[in-house]
Amino acid sequence: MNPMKRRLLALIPPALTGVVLIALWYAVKRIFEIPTFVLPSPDEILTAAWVERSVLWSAMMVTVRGALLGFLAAVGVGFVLAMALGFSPRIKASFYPYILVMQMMPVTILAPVFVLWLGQGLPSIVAITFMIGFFPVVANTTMGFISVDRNLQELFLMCKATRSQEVRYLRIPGAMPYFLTGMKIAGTLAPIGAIVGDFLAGGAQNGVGGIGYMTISYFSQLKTPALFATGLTACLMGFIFVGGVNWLHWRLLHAWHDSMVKKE
Amino acid sequence: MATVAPNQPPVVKIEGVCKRFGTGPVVLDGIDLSVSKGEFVSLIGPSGCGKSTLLRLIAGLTDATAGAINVEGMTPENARELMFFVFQDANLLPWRRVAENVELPLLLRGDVEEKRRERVAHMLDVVGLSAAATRYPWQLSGGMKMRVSIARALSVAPDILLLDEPFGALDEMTRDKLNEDLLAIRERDPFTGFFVTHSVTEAVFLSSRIVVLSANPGRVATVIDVPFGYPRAGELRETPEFLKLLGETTHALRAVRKH
Amino acid sequence: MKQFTATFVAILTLVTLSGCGEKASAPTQGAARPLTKITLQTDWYSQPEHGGFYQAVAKGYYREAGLDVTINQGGPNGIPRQKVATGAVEFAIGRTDELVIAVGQGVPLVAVGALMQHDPQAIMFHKDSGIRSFKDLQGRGMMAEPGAAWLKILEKTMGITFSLMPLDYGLSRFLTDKKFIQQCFITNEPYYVRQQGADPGTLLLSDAGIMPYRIWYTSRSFLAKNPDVVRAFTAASIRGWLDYIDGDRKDADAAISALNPKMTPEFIAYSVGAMRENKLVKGDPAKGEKVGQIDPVRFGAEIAQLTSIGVLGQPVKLADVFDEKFLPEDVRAKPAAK
Repeated sequence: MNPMKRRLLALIPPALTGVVLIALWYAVKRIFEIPTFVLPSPDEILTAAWVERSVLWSAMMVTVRGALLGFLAAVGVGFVLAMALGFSPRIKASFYPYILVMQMMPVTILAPVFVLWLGQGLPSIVAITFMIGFFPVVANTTMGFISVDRNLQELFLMCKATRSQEVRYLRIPGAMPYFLTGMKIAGTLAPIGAIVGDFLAGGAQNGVGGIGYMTISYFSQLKTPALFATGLTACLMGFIFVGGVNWLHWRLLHAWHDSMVKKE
Repeated sequence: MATVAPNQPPVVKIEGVCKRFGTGPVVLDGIDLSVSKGEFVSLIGPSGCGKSTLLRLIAGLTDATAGAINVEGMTPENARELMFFVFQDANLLPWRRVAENVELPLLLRGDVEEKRRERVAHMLDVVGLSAAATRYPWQLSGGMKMRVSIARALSVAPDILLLDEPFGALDEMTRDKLNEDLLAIRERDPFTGFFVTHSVTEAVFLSSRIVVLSANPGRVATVIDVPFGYPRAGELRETPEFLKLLGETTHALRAVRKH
Repeated sequence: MKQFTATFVAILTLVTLSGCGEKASAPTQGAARPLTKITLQTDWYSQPEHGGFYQAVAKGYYREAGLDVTINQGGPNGIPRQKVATGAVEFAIGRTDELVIAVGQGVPLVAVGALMQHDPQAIMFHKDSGIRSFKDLQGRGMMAEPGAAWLKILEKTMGITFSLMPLDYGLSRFLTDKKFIQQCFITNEPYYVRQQGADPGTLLLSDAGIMPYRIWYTSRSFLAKNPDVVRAFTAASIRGWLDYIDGDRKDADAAISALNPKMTPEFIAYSVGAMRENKLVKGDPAKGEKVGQIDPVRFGAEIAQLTSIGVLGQPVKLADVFDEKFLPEDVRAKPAAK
């Protein structure tokens, strides 16, 4: 019963803080007489969330789809690109500066260009999410391919391993921790990227779009409680996404890496 | 019984070998050494005498600046199939289990799964780690990791085994045990051994010959023959003959240190 | 991204400004004719569609009425309704449907007078796309303002649905895609698009029975506390608009281009021409429409339409959003002759 009790007790400080913050919220709203269209109260937001629940759910699904596809593209392309860059220093020197340039380019400039080329909606959103997420994967994974332990390389030399054997059995597994770090970062950026992409390039069917689109729509209608509810939905989506990616990270590494305790 | 085979052509012939890294100081200067099949040669000397470098030259992990090394009539690179290396650090792949680490050289040379499994099971049995086959390296002690490394090295049944201070990081008791285990393994599956160490006791216990190198630059200062036959028991270390030879060797080492 | 930043900045600004100066600033003491300071917030960058107000400033009509009027430019991040509601500005430009929707969300705003009898909002397309009437728009992709009431009205009255893209306030997509459709002002986008060699056609929303007024409005509390100021501003603004449409616009246009260099004389001429051609400002005299007029019957019908499509958060009565008393008597709508 004790560990259970302990876990419940640990919840008390944040719960109490939450109650205080909410009370403060109501107080500020009452004292300064802030109208709802400026700052809605928590119950108004929750009511709006309930009323708009099917719209918000669709919006989240639309955005999740964009985030997931963009994320997978970033991870897949990033990994392959990193392999190429890690394979030869000359390739790395030739291409890396351009990858950096792509990274530096602000998304707000790229977005309209994507829409021009790819059309509005999912393709552009995926492209934007990809752009935001792929650099961490490339940078980290390339590092991983290059940073192979010298001793392990010599081991493979002693085994008369071919280059492709070395890549398959040494470099790729060795790069995994780095790759997964990059993937975790991309996973944090993907939901944001998809929402931003939705703002800039998204669309709607019959008035229902992604999270970014619904934000604009509610804002222009002065439906501020619904606007905040959309924000909550975005948070929820972010948590689920990042949670999923973190789980994957743990699953692939926990056997031999993260839980490694330095003995000796 | 693993004795030195007399009147046989040398398995490893080192002639006038010099090594210099880039424009740095000369690490090895004019090394001459002939080793016969079945010998166990230790290389000892002060820091910087190039003993590890010499070992790596024999293994073909680096090239000599001058001179020649001959392994069974071939260059070290071509003779790799006959050799294996046991590194200072156990050098295991952290993402592979113990059994998977041991099978690595077999996997890379293309053995089929059946054969690999058999061989790995045998090697783990030889080093006494059958129970740990499914564990990951992080779960092993230093001594256990080194035994895995040895099992891996022996899995390809090399004619020549090169060991670079393999037991240096271990405590004395573990080290003594592993020394005895190594000799026991050699009794069953003979190999010609090259062993770099800082421990004079270890060198005397394991070797048939001890090469003492001097530093700056590395040269052969003395070669000491070890008259004890094989197999050798742990109690050998307490005999007066052993202690006498130990003293001689230590003296030779100290003489070299003065420079 | 722009809209997101707008929301953030808006909320911060409004929370800080809540409760600021509802009363018009006190006139300076000692001056011969103390002028009341007033700010008008427009809904976009300075353009001919705001011409009448600039005319009233340039020709001194506001001064004569005892007002010192400053015109604030708007833009994509402008939030005129919120600014008026919190008292940051006294008047702003907008549309009657936006106003009613705001009131339906509990924002206390009141329409005072109309700068245009008919809104210039239209749908722009390429003539080659074969679009002739509203029915041809069904199912098309269109760039428009998300959440706009007229989208829902088209859906309810004509059954037309769109695949919608948020407005990016640009023309590049329209110019590169012959099938592209976007919302526009009939007084604005077609000019630029023709300059780039395209051949646009337009469908005026008012032809689909979507008939908001383009108005200026104020907050309920300002109205209650300064009825004379509201009346004076209204009268002077109507004067400015009459003058702008029919008279010598030179000074007003100079003011506009000074603030917005994009406003060349050729463009302004086009824009004002479009206003005249479509009778946007003066309306149809045969129907009794006049510059500045808001007809309670028509406005009431609009509120009913918005109620029926369900975009109002709470019920809105005509009296909540309009009071004829602030229009000059000769401008008010006459009851329809039987």
